[in-house]
Order: sequence, then C-alpha cells, then structure tokens
Amino acid sequence: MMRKSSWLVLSVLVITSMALSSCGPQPTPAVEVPAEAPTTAPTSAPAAAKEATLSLTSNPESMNPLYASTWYTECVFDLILLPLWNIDDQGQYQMELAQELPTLQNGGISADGLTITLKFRDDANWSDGTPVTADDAVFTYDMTMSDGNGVFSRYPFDTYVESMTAVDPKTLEIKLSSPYADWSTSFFTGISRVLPKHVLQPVFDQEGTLDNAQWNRTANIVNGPFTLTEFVSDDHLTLAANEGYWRGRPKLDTLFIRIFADDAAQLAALQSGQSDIGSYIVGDQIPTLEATGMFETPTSANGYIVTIFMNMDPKTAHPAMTDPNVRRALALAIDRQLIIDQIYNGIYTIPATYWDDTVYDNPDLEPYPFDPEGAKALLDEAGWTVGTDGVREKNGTILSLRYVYISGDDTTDTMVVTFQQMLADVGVKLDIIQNTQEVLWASYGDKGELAIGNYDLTQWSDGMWYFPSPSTSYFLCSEIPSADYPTGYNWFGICDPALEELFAVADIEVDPNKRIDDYHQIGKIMYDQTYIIPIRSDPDVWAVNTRLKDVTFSGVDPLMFAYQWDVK
Amino acid sequence: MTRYIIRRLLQAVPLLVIITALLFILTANLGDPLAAFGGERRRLQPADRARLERQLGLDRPLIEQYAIWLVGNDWMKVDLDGDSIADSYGTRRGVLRGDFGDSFQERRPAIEVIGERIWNTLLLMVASEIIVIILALLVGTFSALHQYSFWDHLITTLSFIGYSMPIFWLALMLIYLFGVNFQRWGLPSLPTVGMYDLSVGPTVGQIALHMLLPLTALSVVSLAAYSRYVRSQMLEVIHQDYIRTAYAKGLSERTVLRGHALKNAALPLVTIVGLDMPLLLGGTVVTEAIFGWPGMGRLFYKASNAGDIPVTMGILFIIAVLVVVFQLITDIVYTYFDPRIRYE
Repeated sequence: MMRKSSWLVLSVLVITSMALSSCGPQPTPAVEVPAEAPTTAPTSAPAAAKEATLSLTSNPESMNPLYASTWYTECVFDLILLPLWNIDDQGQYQMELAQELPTLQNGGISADGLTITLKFRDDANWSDGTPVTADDAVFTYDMTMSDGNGVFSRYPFDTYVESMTAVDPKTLEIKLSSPYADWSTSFFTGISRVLPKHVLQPVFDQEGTLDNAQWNRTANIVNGPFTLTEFVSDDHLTLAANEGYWRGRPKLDTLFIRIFADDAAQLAALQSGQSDIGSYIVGDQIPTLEATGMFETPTSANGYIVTIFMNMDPKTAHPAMTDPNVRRALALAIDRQLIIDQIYNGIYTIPATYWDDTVYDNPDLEPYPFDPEGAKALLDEAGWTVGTDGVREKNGTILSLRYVYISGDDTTDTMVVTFQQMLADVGVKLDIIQNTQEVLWASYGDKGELAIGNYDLTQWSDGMWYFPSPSTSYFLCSEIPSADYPTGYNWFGICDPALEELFAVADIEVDPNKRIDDYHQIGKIMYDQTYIIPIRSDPDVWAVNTRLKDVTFSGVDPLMFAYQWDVK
Repeated sequence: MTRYIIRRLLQAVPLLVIITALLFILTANLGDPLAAFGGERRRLQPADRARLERQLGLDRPLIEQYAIWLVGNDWMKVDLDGDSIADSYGTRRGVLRGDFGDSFQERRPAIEVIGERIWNTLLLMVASEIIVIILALLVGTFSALHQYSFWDHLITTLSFIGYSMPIFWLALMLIYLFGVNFQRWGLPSLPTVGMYDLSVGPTVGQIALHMLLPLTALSVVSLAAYSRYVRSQMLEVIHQDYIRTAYAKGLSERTVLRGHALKNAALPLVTIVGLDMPLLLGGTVVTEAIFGWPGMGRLFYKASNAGDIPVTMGILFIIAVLVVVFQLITDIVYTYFDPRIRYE
C-alpha cells in the first residue's frame, strides 16, 4: 500500500490543482466598473444587487462585429454595442446612435436614392466618455474593406457602397454605387456595428490588422446599455450596467451570460435556477419548463421557417423532382399539423411561403393542405405507378429519394422519420442520410453534397438573413454552382426566368408597397411550382423565469430591450 | 538508461512528423470550415468565401497547407489582396516555432484558445484519475482478498452496473437528482453547470463544489473497470508461490500485500494508466458538455465539427507528443516496479 508520504503528496497535488485552477485560466479582464463613493452616510442597508443570467447554446466568436457571424454573437452585441437603430417586435425603428431615420421626406435620402445622410445623436458616448461620431462609422467601413483584416463579410459595403464620409463629426454621408433597398436593415445595424476608432486605429496603425486586437476579446470600451467585464470563452460573459448609456442606466446591475454546449444542459440549468432566461428553446422542452411553474415562454417572429428544399437541377436531380406535380404531391403527402402538434407541442404554425409572418407573405396563399389522396392522384397522373413492393416506379426508375439533413437533435430526427412514413404511404421511398453542416454546406469546389447535387430532398431552418429585409439570392439562375462558379448558393437548380425578373426588380425597388407586391408575386410563382415545401415556422422561443419582469424581445434585434429588464 | 531515453526521443521526431501529417490530412477532410461560418442562420457571400479561403490559406494544396502549418510562411511571399501577385510576406511562423495558427472560429491564436481550457480539463481529469486509482486499488484488493464473499459479490455487481451505464445518462440522472429534485424537495442541492457560481467567483470552495457531480459521473465508470482489473491481477498474484513463501516466513498480511503482491499486480495497471494519461488532455466531451465544463473535450468536439483546423491540429499534436512522452515514462516506471527490467 502507499506510504503516508505518498498520500500527503497526492492530497497536496489535488488541492494545489484546485487552487491553481482558480487563478490559472484567467478570463480576459476589462475595465472594472468603478464603485461610486457615497456622498452621505447610508441610513439603511443597501438594496441587493439586481442580477440575471441569460443562457446561450453557442459560444460568441468575437466581440468585434467584423469577425462575428452568428445569431448568438449578435445577441451579445445588442447588449454592448449600439447600432444606428433597432427594429422592435412591431417592426418599428427605434433610434439608437442615429437621431432619425433618413427618408426622402426629411432629406436624408437624395432624390436618386444614391446618397444617404444621417446624423449621430449628441448624447451617444463610448464608455470612456468619448463621443460616438461619424468618424467611427467611416473607420468601421475602412476596416471592413481593408485587405489587412480577415473579416467575416464585407457585404453589403463591397457591393453597394461607393464611399462613406464624415461630413462633420456628427454627420455621415453614404454614397451608393446603385440603388439598394435594404440599406436600413444592413448598414451598421443587425450584426454590423460601429467600432471605436480612438481605440482601434492605433492598433491597426501598429499591426496592420485588427485580427488579433485585444479589444476583440475584452471590448473594454463600448457604448451599449452594458459593459463587458469578463469573457471566459465557452463558459460565460459578465456584463455590468453602463452608467453612461444614453437612455439611462439599465435596471439590472449585472447580467451574466452562461454558454452551454447543448439544449439539455441549458434545460437543466433553467430548471435548477442557474439560468433565468433560456434562448433557442426547442418545442418539446416547453411543457417541461411550463410544468415547473417558474417560466413563461414568449416567442418572437424572426423571418425564419423550417422548409424542405429540393434538387431540381436536370443534370443531377432524380427525374421525378423536375416535375412540379411530383413536388406538389410530396407537399400534399406530409401532415405538417400533426408533426407540429405531436412533436412540437403545437407551438408553431404552418407557413405558406418563404416570407411567412411578414408583409412579404402573399395573403392569398394558404399552406399546402394534407391530402394524401390528392398526392396519389398527382403521382398517378405523372406516370409513377405503384410497384409490387408499394414503391412507385416509371420507365424502370424507382421513386426512391435521397433525403439528406444536418443531424443534431432528436426532434428533427423524429420529424424526418415521420416524413419517411408519410411519403411511404403514398408510394415514395425515402433514404435518410444524416451529415454535418460542414459536409452538406461545403462549396461546389469542396464537393459539398448539396452543391454537387448529391441529394433529392433536404431541410433546415432558413429565411430572411437580414430580417426584416426579404432579399435572398437562393433562387437565382446566376447562383447555381458550377466549376466556374463554385461558391453559388442555388443548390436547388431553380432557374425560372419569371422569378429572375421579379427578384431583379425587387432588389432595387425603393417604394415599399411596390416591393411588397413584387414579393407577393414571387411567392405565388414559388408556390405554384412548389419550389420549396415549408414545414413550420421557426420563431425565437425564449424561456423567462417569472422572478424577472419587463423581459421582452425582438425578432430582429433580439435583446434590444435588455436595458429595461428588471427583477421583481 | 540515458542512451535509451535519448534514442527514444530521437525516434519520436520522425514519428511525430508522420503522425501529424496523417492527422492533418484527416482533419482537413472533415468538411469545409467556411460552411460553419454564420452558424445556422447565415451563409457567406460568394465574394467573402473566396477572400476568406485566400486569407486563411484554404485555397492552397493540402501538402502546402501542412508545410505552412509546420514551418510557417513568414519567409515567403503570398497573395493577400487577391490580385494574383504574391507581394506580401506571410504571417505564420509554424508549429516548429510555437505558432499553431489562428482559430478559424474565434479568430485568435489557437494555442491561446487551447491554453484556456487545458487547466480546466486537467483539474477534472487528474482529480478523477487519482480518485479512481486509489479507490480501484482499495476496492479491487479488498474484493480479491475476500473472493466470493458477500462483499465481493456486491462489489462485482455494482462494478458491472457502473461499467454498463452510459455516462451521459448517469450525468443527467445526477443533475436531475442532486440539482433539480433536491432543490424541489427543499434539500441542499448541488450546482449542475459551470466551474463556479458567477455571483461568487472562482474560489477553491466553489470549484470543488461544482466538481462534485462531473467527478462522480467520470469516476463511476472508470472505477468499475479499474477495480475489476485490479481484482483479477491481485487474484493471480496472491496465489503465486512467492506469496505463500512470504507468509510462511511470518510476514504480516499488510507487509506481504504492500511489499510483494501489490507491486506485481500493479505492473499491468501502470501500462493502462500510462496509456490513459495523455488522453486525459482530450477531456471527455459528454461530461463537459452536460455539466457546462469549459474543457478540452468540448473544445475538440466543437473545433473538429466546425473544421477549425488550427485548434483541432493543436490539440491532436499536443496529445500525440504526450503519448510519446508518457510511453517513455511508462517504460521507465516499469524499472521501478520490476528491477529485472533494464534498458540499454
């Protein structure tokens, strides 16, 4: 057996490891929020600090918007970095850095629509007291376009902006190279934010790049309702109320953000009280949360739906998929309401078009009904007759379709298996293949499964990437990937001249009512041709502990109302 | 012995080159790293994809990417601005000079990303390994000495149950019992996620408290396996002639067990522990994910899924080096347990 000295050594080792760990992996510290000195002697015990914990199921990549790409990171930006304006859950613009939204009427937009002039508010400051100015916006644009920076995206600046100038410290002038209908939902709003020039210009001057700037992790100078005091990657962020926020100090003193690897860990944390606000709640978790009596589960529309996409490219598709009657039959064969009720506890709705629950959704279109007999009739009419094994065939070709999708959660797996059964009932065989996002969504050049057309059906949650902007390039002929254009996103092989024309018109249409009409027509064409099969809505679903109050969200800028969250 | 050690270390160099080359090829074929950019809600614009491929070096042939990973590109000119003219020197120094590259996901040095997680994983895994080894020796020895007794049967039954339990199920059960239900029943509950209470901060007490559940989950399965192994080795050793001779000489049971039996029974265990030690750094994906422990396992899973080559290769390289080092250490430790073993 081990000697006493060995036991002692082992015990010291364990205790030392624990002590070292408490001081080993230091989180990236930022400026500490200074405590204010009391001017008079307190007459009663100080009120307990108001704290809340929000949980996310993915790690924010960077505190610098130039290097960020995910919704989770955008949520953090809502708390620490202000956009020009936010868009609330009613679709109304709420000014933040900008004094007012530029329009033709107020002279903020030139008659030709190519010059946008906006003014920054006077009381918007960085947390070190430096005013936020137009120079910060110009600097951000310059850094986005600089070859020294490996930014996530230069869009839309690289496509639509000719120049950006600070006419004076508070006036920004943007010159467009061509009319751009979505400028108000993509310039320094959404995931795009203004950077502090006075902090980052010296870094760029010295390093020639912002890629490794310390500010990207610490974000110690910000302008949002909260300041970042601690960021431990894959674990948590700690945010403190920003006394200098132009709307006034937020009601919460501290907001913690816990990062979890998956939904199950988040659910456990919510139930055990270690998280107050849960994000991206999955439908089958809602009964569990509501049964605790501690949670409400508000939702906010975000322009996304879960939809089935299909390969219709004649060069690679199953011959059946090029026939709109077959595609319509597939849509009619799926009982989406049953799936929503049984798998998702009835919390979602069935969309009719890609622009579900927005003004761009054609009100004359109803979701495809569940009509298996109608599906069978369409398949019979298309020449696909039922074989002896129950699977349809035509001219020696079996109606066996390859369904590929991104694996990851049980409810999606259950949904897909349910599709398989429903389609089998009308004589369509479905081969299900799971894979990862990196393999399925790889480019044509990297032999991505979808890009090279090695599938018949697929599904994921998609929609308006720059919600509430309706623009998408998914369905354009020019976006079909090939050896000459390997990065195209039209993995579905859709090439419809009528659609092309409408998208081109809508993309530059600055009259909002005409634009809505354009998208109604687009939706009608896509519906008639069954270019997609919408399955269910996919709003943001939150879980909010009832110990909190005034917790509301927006589907566009999710945490824009965090400054008013409070503890009961 | 010294020559032996030097020879082994020199042999390790070409071995590591071959291992890293193979790992690099496998890692690079996990999928398209750029497909993960944007998460589930956004996709890269085509122009941005082409630019990022160039800036991250993903447009180069695989062999060139490996060479740059190994020796860097700051000594050669590259095309950074996309005008097809190589007019700027690269910025990479290569693994041989301590530069593992920048994480594609977090856009900062991969070694920094890995370094933040190493201590968290070592804390959990080393503590678990120590507990498992000590308890396995105690339980396994007791079980062997009381073969076929009630306690032996009980330990055997519990070992099979423990070994059969999927760790994710065990982890979730521990959370729901000690975290959720205890709280609901008004009992003191244990924290279920993270390394410490964010309101309190990273104190020794907080970390110890937060370690209880993940340590339990990790230890149960390993203890079940190790204790069975110790039991079978002890059973083989205590029936040897030299043990009978030791008893015949009048030595106490304690002396016989500690001085003779355990040393010989432990030799194979040394091999297993030696193989396990470098893998400790890989952490445990499931446990870290469920308990929200920010460790290497979770990082490796996330990085390999996202095609984050610098981080994935950094972790694999470290593990490969540790495997080589710990195999050497294991061989040296053998000579302590068995003086008959000598190396030239």
